[in-house]
Amino acid sequence: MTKESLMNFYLDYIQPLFKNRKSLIGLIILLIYILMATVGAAVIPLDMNSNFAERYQKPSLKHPFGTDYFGVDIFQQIVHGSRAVISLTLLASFLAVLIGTIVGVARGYLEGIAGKIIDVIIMVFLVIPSFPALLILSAIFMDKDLNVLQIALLVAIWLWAPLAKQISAQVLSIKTRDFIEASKILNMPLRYILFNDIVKLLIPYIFINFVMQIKGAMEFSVGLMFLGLAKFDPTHWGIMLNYALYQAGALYTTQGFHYLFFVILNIVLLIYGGILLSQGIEEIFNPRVRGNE
Amino acid sequence: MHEAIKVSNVSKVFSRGYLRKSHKLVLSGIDLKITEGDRLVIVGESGMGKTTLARIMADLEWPTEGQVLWFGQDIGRMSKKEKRLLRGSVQYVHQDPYSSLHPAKTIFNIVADPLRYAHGLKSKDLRKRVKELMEMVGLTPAEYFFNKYPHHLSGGGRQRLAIARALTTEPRVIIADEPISMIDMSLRASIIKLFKDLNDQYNIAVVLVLHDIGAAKYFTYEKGEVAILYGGKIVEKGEGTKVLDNPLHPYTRVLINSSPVADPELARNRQVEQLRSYAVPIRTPDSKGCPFAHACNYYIEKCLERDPQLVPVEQNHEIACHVFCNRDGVI
Amino acid sequence: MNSLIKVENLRAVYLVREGTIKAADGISFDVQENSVTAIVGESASGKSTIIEAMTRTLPPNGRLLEGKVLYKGKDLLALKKEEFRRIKWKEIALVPQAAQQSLNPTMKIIDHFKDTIEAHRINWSHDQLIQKASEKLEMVRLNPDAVLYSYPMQLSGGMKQRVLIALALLLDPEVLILDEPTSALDVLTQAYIVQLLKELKKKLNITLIFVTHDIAIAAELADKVAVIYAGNIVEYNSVFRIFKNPLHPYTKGLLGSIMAINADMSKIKPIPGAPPSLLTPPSGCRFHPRCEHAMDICKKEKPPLITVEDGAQVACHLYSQGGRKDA
Repeated sequence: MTKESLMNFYLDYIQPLFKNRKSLIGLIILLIYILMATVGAAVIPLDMNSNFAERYQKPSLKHPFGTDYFGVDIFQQIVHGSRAVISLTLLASFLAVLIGTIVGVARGYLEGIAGKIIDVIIMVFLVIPSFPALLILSAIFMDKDLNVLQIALLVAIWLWAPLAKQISAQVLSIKTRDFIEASKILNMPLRYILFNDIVKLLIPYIFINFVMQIKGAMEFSVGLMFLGLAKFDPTHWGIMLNYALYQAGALYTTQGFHYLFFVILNIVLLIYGGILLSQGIEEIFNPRVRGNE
Repeated sequence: MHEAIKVSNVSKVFSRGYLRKSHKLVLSGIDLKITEGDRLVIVGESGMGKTTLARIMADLEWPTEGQVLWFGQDIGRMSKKEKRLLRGSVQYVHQDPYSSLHPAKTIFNIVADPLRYAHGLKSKDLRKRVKELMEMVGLTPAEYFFNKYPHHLSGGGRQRLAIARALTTEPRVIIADEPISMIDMSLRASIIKLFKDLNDQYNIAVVLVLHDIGAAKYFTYEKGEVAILYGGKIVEKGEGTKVLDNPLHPYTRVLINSSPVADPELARNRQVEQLRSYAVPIRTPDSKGCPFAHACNYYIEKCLERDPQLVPVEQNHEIACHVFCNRDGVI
Repeated sequence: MNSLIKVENLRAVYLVREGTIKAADGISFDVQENSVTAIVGESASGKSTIIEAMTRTLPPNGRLLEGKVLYKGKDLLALKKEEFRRIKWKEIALVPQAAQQSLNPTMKIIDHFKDTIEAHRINWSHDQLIQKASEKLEMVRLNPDAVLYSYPMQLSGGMKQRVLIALALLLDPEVLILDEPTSALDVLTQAYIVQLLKELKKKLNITLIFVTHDIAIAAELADKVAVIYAGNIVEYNSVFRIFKNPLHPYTKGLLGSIMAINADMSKIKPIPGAPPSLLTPPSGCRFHPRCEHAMDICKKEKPPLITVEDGAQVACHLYSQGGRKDA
């Protein structure tokens, strides 16, 4: 990657994200949460000891988000929980993009029966409703203690298909362009044609798709946690939400309002950050992503 | 001198439809050869099969019938390995310099990658060779272009780059399909001149497919052969100056007389023969007779029944016509 | 002979991400009634811009900075939309490039004719339309029965170009503007179209303006030729004089670089360098970096288009220095 091509990449794909208002705000929100997950969780202590004397305290300087049913500081939990949410989300997005790209490029390059088989596989995953399928899968694995990577994989399985389909279409179209034939005439090896010729043109596309996956991965992982279908980690926001609604009866008493409120607020804010970023990206890139030049 | 490429009795049929119902005869009975270090122009209008012929010669498509020999070997019967070894000797330049170059690669890499992967050149040697090749095609100063991209070049510049890339495998033959049709008028002659120079200085055989007769003349007036294609058939072929200065086939004559001239008096005073039809003939394997008969003003009944063969009319000049040539020579 | 159309100081630009493309930089020329004028230029010379400006079809990122197009005394660029529409097609019609998908692939040819009269608020009955359309198609040597009910993809390039000419002639205009009528066509088809245009001009007594990159086509058809380079008209002369005695170094270079069949092959010489980018055009005379006669003043001042002997016009300091004659 020459300096000039990196510079071009920045100017074409990163700088516009800063200029577009929606994507800029989305990026800022996500950045805040990433900071929270990395720096915040390291800096702010987590005291999970129950302190019934302090339960359901309203937000104050000592407890910015108040305390929960057990008297544990909500802010601390949010900060620590963000780590699980963010890592699961980013990992799931990354895996989805990886699988989608591999399958998409494979489909685009292979023709005939192999290609058609891959088409069917992609279609199956497109047609099956993702979230319910994810729930079923998680329920199956519920009692096995899964680590973050495995859960991320479960989520990614239901996210890769649309990307694979689009990439396969792009590859099929790129394949017909003269410079591919030129590479073959020059005796270039297959790996060169796949990576330097084809995938190189897909990189901006993949990058943008990765960012747009974040929103979906986020929704899925929070939803999973909320329904209690994954590893038990009390600071995970989904778990907190579950607690708040079903265990702590926060809905039924005005005292618990802030508990529910802040958990939902953070979930919504994070997802909204992802939505804004995706919308901004759509606004900037849509015609260009499709046509490439 | 050896024969670089020989095309023997090549025909190409395109079949369409699920049950292979419709067949289009795009090339029939093509016999053509080019010796090492020589120049050949295939002249034809669109739809006459010239691109298909060029691609068959370059092993990018396969004939339905007939053989293509590279340096005496039948490429239809070669193993993949043998073909890989010979592949570099016959290179191809596409018509559209806007799609034959990868838009996201630097100019340096476009030329360097084949050198890296096929010849294993590295760092200093690599740079040196890339510079050499770019200078050979007139992209100087070479270093200025290294970090730029194809879209920074004009059409002519891009075509030169495509040629430089083709030269990385040290080919003995270069086949170019309409290399100048997408380039500005004032730059076209310089690309043809480049091909002439490569032919002279490095003894590379060059096959050009052109529809521009003026360019064909410019390319072959010192040396070289011309083959005129109509309806998938070679109707006239021979030494460039002989065919273009003294055309004998009725189609060639109309083609040359209709070519634009840069002289208003000549343009207004010349009489150009009108053909009976300007439609591109659609031929099937069952078609009979001369493909030009439907448009020709001189046809006789024989022309509708039997396809004329190429017959010599003078040294190194053949035409395929029942009317203007019979076995004994020109009528 | 009076001027039917007079273009005065046309200046237009296109706005792009990298800046502005100064495509038309003060273009002036006039067109006589019943004449054929060719505007010859290479790609990115600004020749299409002239047509877009004259027919008010500049793309969304195009801006007309200055200029007048006087037709029968009225400035077409200053007219209100309604008034302009009345003139467009009925008096001045445009034949776009067939190569550039100017025909709608989902509509039959007869529907294109229908669209045209509807767009210009003409109330012909269906039969009248068929009769007129057939008349025009026959004029361009097409068989109406075969062509009217076909789709564009069933027609060859030459046939499509002829359909576009027929569409332009539908309302019997006085002026026909053609954008590259022969590019992307084969040699024989090109010759056919040129022959056709010659006949049409004679038969219908119309004024033709066409833009082309092929100066040899101008030799066949035109009475007067305007050579345009990098947004400026560098020479404007009668066709015979331009070929016999080109004045501007670019015209000379251009004529010396083309591979016409009647040329002396050993004397063909390409023009060194390449056409400039109109984003950052050269200072002064835009041709100076490639000109073998370039002088100091050429880098500093843009030469104006002046009239030298016999009504020939050239924009070059070689002529404004000595031997300058005012008309």
